[in-house]
Amino acid sequence: MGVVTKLVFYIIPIVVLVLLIIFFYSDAGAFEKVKRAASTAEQYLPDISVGAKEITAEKPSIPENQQQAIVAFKEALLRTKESSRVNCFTKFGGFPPLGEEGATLVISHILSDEVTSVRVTGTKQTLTDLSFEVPGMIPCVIGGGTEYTEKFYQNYLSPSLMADDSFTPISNDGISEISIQWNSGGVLETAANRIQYDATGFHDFKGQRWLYKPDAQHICFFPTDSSTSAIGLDDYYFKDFENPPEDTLQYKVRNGPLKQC
Amino acid sequence: MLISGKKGIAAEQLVVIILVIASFMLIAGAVTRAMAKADDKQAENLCRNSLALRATTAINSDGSLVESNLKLAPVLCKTIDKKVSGDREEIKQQLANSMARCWWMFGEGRYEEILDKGALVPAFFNLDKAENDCFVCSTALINEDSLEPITPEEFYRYLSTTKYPAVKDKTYLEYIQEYGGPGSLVLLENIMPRQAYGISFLAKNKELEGTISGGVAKTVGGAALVFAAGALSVVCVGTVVCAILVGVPLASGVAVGVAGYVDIKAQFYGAEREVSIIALDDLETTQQNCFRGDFAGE
Repeated sequence: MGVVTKLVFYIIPIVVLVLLIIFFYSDAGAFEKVKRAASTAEQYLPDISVGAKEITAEKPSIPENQQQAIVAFKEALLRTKESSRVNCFTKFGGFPPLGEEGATLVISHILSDEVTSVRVTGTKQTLTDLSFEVPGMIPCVIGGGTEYTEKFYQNYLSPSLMADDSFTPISNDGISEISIQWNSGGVLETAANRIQYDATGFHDFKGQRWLYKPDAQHICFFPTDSSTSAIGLDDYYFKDFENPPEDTLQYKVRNGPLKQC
Repeated sequence: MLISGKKGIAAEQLVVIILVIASFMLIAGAVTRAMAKADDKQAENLCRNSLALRATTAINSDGSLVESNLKLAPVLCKTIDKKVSGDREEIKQQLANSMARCWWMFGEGRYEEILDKGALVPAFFNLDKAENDCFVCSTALINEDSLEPITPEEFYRYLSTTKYPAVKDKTYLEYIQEYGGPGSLVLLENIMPRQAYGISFLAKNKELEGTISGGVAKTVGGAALVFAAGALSVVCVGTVVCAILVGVPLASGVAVGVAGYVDIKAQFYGAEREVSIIALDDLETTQQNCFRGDFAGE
């Protein structure tokens, strides 16, 4: 009795233990199943932490090629403003496709401070390092009415134009703000760099490589259209030809009678 | 002789009494002004501290079934009313200081959705995420009769070129954009004499992706224009007002009238924001869209 009891007392727990070890730790054992079940349950339990997530600012930025283009634009504007010449033109590299995540330029004349500010923004913030000012400049456009675009054509682009210093300057300075950005322009149009200078929305900006200085203060931009209209000049005059035809702005500035600033 | 002597003493006493009363009035005025300033500072400090505590004690739970963000500490902020006077530069400086101070009070934009209610039940069901809270930090009455309108472009230029004295080598704009968390400035109205304005904090309430940036809006003689793009929107209405709305998602190329400009503003206040914003707008619109008063006593 005593021996049997002792045997049962020791052997049964040992057998149970062995069975349990096999049950839990064999290759497809229950332990793995329990582990899997526990880890699945963990996914549904909330991960609790105390303290709000802190966010820190990063300097806003735009692609490198856009930064370089804006620096070149700044140099072109300052060079044109500082030039002693008037009734002259400056050609620069223009802007690469600005894209939806790229830069927007807002050119504002601040009358009280006698300065034009060029504010460059990314998608969320102003890029203070790239924004700049041109003292004494008044921005203008060759657009916003046929009285500007057609007169400009007559004064500077007409085939009958002769070498002459008596060009009549022309500009529309009845605007306080010009915006340049990536924009679709309208229904069925593809997105491109476009310009806005009044309530009529964004317009083509094929003249984006050119600046025009009618007098000591004004510097004008060239919105364009498929043919010369109230919006702007015919984009043909601003095309980059390898051998520019005689009636293009490029030819007339390179070979006369128009002057470079 | 005795009578004239008494008269002399009475006159002397009268002079002393008048001097005492005049001195008292002067001192009382100075003390009242100092107290008012101290009260404002105290209110700003209390607001900042309460928000810091709110952020520190927020309980976040993040899981597949329950995602919530409980903010247990109350917001102890109240709108501070100010009168702004002086010349053009002084007015710009005082408004700029109020805007920077508002940014400071709200932890310099380091905490997102700091104003959402975070109550237990809505938090469990994420209902509080629908809140689009903003708070009027201060109001500013332009206490001048003659002042040429300060356009948003001019004021934006001031903010982007003038150093903020409280922070070394940072302009007001840089302080708000880059010093703490990411922020942006929005100017929605011209500053005019005898008009009241609201300076408000609009908390970030959207994960970074691409909606709100910063800008200026403008009025151009009855006809209005919206310069809009993913990044920057410039809204013009009539002849004088243009607002700067960096990061505000507006329909591109939309022309608006004065009523339309009100709609644009409503869009601005209702929009999701990727960064926190300090905005300056007319007081009426500000208090229509943001909470004004004592948050604790709400």
